Amino acid sequence: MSSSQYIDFSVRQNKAIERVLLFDGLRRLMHYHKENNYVYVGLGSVWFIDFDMAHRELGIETMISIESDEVLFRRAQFNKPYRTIEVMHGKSHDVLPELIKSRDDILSRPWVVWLDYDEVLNETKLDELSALVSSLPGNSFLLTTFCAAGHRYARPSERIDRFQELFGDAFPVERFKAAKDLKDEPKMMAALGDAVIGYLKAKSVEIARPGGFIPAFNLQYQDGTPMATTGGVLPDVDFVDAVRDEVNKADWLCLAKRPIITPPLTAKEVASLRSLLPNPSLLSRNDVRELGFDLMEDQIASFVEHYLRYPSFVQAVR
Amino acid sequence: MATHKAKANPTKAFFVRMLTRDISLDDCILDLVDNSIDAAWKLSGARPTALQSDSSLKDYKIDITISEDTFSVSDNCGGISFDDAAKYAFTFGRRDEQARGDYSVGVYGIGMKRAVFKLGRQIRISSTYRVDNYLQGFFVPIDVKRWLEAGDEAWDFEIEDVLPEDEPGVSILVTDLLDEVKEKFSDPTYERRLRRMLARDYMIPLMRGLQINVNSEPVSGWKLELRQNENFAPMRTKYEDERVNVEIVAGMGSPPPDDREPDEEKGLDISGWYVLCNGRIVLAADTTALTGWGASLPRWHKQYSGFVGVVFFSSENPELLPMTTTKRSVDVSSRVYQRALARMHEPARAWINYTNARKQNIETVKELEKQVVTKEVSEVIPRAELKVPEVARPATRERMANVNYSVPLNRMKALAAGFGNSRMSYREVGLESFDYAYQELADEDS
Ligand SMILES: Nc1ncnc2c1ncn2[C@@H]1O[C@H](COP(=O)(O)OP(=O)(O)O)[C@@H](O)[C@H]1O
Ligand SMILES: [Mg+2]
Repeated sequence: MSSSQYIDFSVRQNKAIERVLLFDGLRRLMHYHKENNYVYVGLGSVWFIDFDMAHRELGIETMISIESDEVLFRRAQFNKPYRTIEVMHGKSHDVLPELIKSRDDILSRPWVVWLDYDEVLNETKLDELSALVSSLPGNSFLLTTFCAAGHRYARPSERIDRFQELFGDAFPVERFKAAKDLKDEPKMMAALGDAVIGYLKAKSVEIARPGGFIPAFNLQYQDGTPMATTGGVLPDVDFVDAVRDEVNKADWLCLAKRPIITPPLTAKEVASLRSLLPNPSLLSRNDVRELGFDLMEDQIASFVEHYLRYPSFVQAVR
Repeated sequence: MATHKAKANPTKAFFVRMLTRDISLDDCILDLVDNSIDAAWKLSGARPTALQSDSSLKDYKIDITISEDTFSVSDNCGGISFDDAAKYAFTFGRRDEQARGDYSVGVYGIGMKRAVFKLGRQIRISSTYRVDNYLQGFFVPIDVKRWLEAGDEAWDFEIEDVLPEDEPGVSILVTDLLDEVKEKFSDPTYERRLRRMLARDYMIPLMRGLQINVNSEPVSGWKLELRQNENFAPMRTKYEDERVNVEIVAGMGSPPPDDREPDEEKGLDISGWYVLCNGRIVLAADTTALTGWGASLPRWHKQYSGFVGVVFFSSENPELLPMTTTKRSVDVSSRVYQRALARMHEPARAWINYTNARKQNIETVKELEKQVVTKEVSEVIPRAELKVPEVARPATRERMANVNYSVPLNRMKALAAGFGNSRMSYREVGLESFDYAYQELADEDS
């Protein structure tokens, strides 16, 4: 919630790619209910990037941003880009239940809730998500972004215990039989993503929510710290099949198998890489060397996968 | 006076809809696994008559797969012979002439049928079995809807020939799952829960080498361990009662807890009684009146945590065992069980007394509870009584102050980690931080 204080947004290219994927996915699923008057709820900070996209790309007008920090709250009110954004003061786990209890005006409409934390998940946050699974209106979307770096949860010897304590059976312990598995960063990111998906799904089954929870988003990315974005739809019963079909399509990109790990690139590098794309064969490290510079194999693969979403902002001179 | 007859025939619907109501999906799956394990014991010649660890079932394997649209279980434990299938296996209820006396857990002849009806509407039960030195196969397809529609006169299922598999065994496939089953299987935590349940309930056959896989991932058996040192020793006795062998082991599974808050309790508490019948757990970590708590013993209290007891009943004739038809509880009206209960109370009492005395002198007993070695229940040495130390009340008249406060959980955990142990109890964190602050701010010596 306080990322504005220490992150230079201009170089978070993978975050930007994640956002594009996410909003593409949301648009695809929302088009089934064009008549729906969605409500967007997020943690807009002072930048409101996701709010800008929610309004521009999804056409959402009613938007609510939650901010707990006193100063940032004032700055958020000053910075909010559209008239219809309401900034609320408090922690989301306190504000959201209040909203759901008191705001009949928006409860008859589906919500898109994106809790884009920069922090690790903990009991409080999982409680918050699980309360949303049981209380959000039908056809709502629930998304969360969190830190997926194992070392931020517990020291190595206690890490798996901590994950089991936090997620219960939703954490895929069986993938971590050897000590080296703990060090496998992509594996850990994927496991945490799956744990949250499992946690939300289990919650929906436990309360027998009609329509249930359908996982639709499971992305990992890394601009320095490993991060994961997970979530899905809480469809009404008559929307279930359509959602299932959509997210099972081959071109549904929000349930990704590989993390997004493009490197920060200069405009010149981006332009020369793009000049080789699209390309039916994979770009190799040699191809890049022939262009006159160098990148790691997995960085190249990630760029090739996302080159159309790679942001074109210019690297700031420091 | 003319005699009339009241029609009393059972209906198929009774078996499909009614009988499946009183049993959970989990217990139905276990019923199928029970059948495989019964067959494995029989074929191997080994018997579930003692708490022991060896490799007598190492050649036997049970594979379970669950997904949103199918369930299957298959084993290599010998299969059902054509004759048995034709005469007994598909009958609702055991026929009197079916052989018994085999140390099985199957008694009533209903488990398999009830289980598949609970799961879905398209069923295929296949078997490969040995005749002299070659293998033969058959399968029984059951289309539940069509079978129901065929009316209450036609009960039989078709048996069809099929090529045998590589090994003798049974394989059951259920599709067209019921909605509530689909829903359960779609929950990714279900698969892990099932694995954990199998690990616990089949601790004994797993201890003896049996392999069980759920969606290709092996289940590793639970280890029930007791602790001992010079002050503590578990009890273990064995006796026979009306053709039932009874073995009781009880002791300290873990030291009694410090005062923990309810929300501090980590995961599942393993304390309580475990009741086994022919190697199958029918009651686990029980702390209810079924095992005497709140009946002839005080109600269970978390102060008693750490107590672990195992009662192992085995008999050639499973009808004599004190278990219910769902195999999920004990039959408290069984005389064999009532007599066992009286003996189970002795170690439980000793533990209750110890934990009461312990409160008077925590610091001393903590020393006594240290340096324990853990022993698997199967390795515990016979001993008539549970050994616990005598605890004397400390002599202090110093006035004490009690502290009680709340802080955000996050900060509590962070501070515990800061003290070097994130598993510290809240109480310990409180005491440590008090000592820490005291030394900094109040200690006269510093
Ligand atoms: N996996 C199996 N392997 C060998 N025999 C089996 C298997 N499953 C079922 N059977 C046979 O089918 C019979 C009926 O099973 P069930 O309906 O569960 O009743 P019960 O186990 O009480 O006899 C069993 O007694 C056994 O002879
Ligand atoms: Mg049976």
